[in-house]
Amino acid sequence: MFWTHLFSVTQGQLPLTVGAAGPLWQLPNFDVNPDILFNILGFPVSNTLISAVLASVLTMLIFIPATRKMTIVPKGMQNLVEWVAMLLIDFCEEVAGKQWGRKFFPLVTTIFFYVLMGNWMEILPGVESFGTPLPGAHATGGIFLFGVNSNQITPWLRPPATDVNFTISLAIISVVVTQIYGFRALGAGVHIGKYITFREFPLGLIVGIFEMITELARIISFSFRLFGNLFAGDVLLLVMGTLVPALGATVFYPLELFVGFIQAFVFAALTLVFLSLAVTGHDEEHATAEAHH
Amino acid sequence: MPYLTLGATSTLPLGINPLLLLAQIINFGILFYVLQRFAFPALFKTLDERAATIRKGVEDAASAKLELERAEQQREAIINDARQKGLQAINEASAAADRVRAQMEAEARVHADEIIQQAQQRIHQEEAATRLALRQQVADLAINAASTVVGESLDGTRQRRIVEEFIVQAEKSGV
Repeated sequence: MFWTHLFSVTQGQLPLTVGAAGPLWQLPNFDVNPDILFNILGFPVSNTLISAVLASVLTMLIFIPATRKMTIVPKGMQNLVEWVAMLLIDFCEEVAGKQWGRKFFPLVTTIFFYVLMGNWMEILPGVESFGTPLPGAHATGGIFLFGVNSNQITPWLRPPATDVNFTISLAIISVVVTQIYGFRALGAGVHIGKYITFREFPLGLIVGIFEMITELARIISFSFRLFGNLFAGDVLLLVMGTLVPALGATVFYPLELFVGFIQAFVFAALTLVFLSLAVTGHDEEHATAEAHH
Repeated sequence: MPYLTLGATSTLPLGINPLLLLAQIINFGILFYVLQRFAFPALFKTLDERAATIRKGVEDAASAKLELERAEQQREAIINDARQKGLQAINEASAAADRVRAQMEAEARVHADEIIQQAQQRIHQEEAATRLALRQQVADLAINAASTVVGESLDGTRQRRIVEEFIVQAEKSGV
């Protein structure tokens, strides 16, 4: 995206119509569906999946070298990773307490960095601009596509959170792990009792059913919050980049970096909060609430 | 959208594809496993070690502070003790010096008295000898004078004895 537009600017061209040939480039195609690039043993491989794998690799490249030969006096990348890890450990312990904070830290941190890397991929050069031309598209400017062909491309990379498969998968993981921790911490009887209870019948039962619906609704709220923010940001960058090449999108890069960070943090933080709630019984919640009053 | 015809197999709205969902879950699972296996244990180990080192450092510092305070107290006690012992030694030395001085003074006094007595004895002896010699001279003078006056030599032991008795009586009478 960035390089295509930069190239256009250096050529002294503006994204305006040039004579009867029509616009020099067109608005990219926007679609919520991911682009399937190829299949491996029947498994579809989309550009968002490749981006997600890339985000995983980036996260590993941050953590593994930094934690390989750790020293008591940190330096370089270890320093940065430790600083972020300490912030997240403190945050986890503050929300979930000393007992559970450290247990939740790995999942919360993995989610945070994975989503963050995926979100920040949005501004990388080549993302959504390098790809395979669609059948019938003509490369009119060397390796570049111009005019009506400019949006006839299947990008190789697309920010993973602009695909609901990515966000829903994370939401499912978050909710499922939350339930697993609930069962482990409280035992099956108490945990199921949160949703199906005959105490204070029939109000307790109705509340339990609502709790169950809430758990399922979390998948939707989790996934569509992230998807909506990132998809909207992606569209914003593409539209602004088309209207004002290079500079138009650049102005919004800091905003998108911020949104990407906030959304990653919100996802991780909500997972942490729900995990904390899952390992807390109803009675403890009531006791805590009464203590606060 | 033209490029959606490249093999999109979505059967659900919004592009939800069960296989892609599963692939994304597997991808996250691999990432989580790798970090949980290789990164987080080392991270926790280092953080715990550092916390233990810092805790030990703080404890050691507190212990060293206590030791220092104890050593300071011991030092003060030793200095006070030394000061008292020093004062005691000075006092004892002072008393000994006084004793020695008194002894030496006494000895010197005795010695001086002896010297004085010896000197007095010598003076008496010399006085007696002088007095004897003088008496003889006076006797000689008196005899000579009397001889001259009487025109006759006064010789003989009897005249000398008379003169000497005269002189002794003159001495006794204070002449």
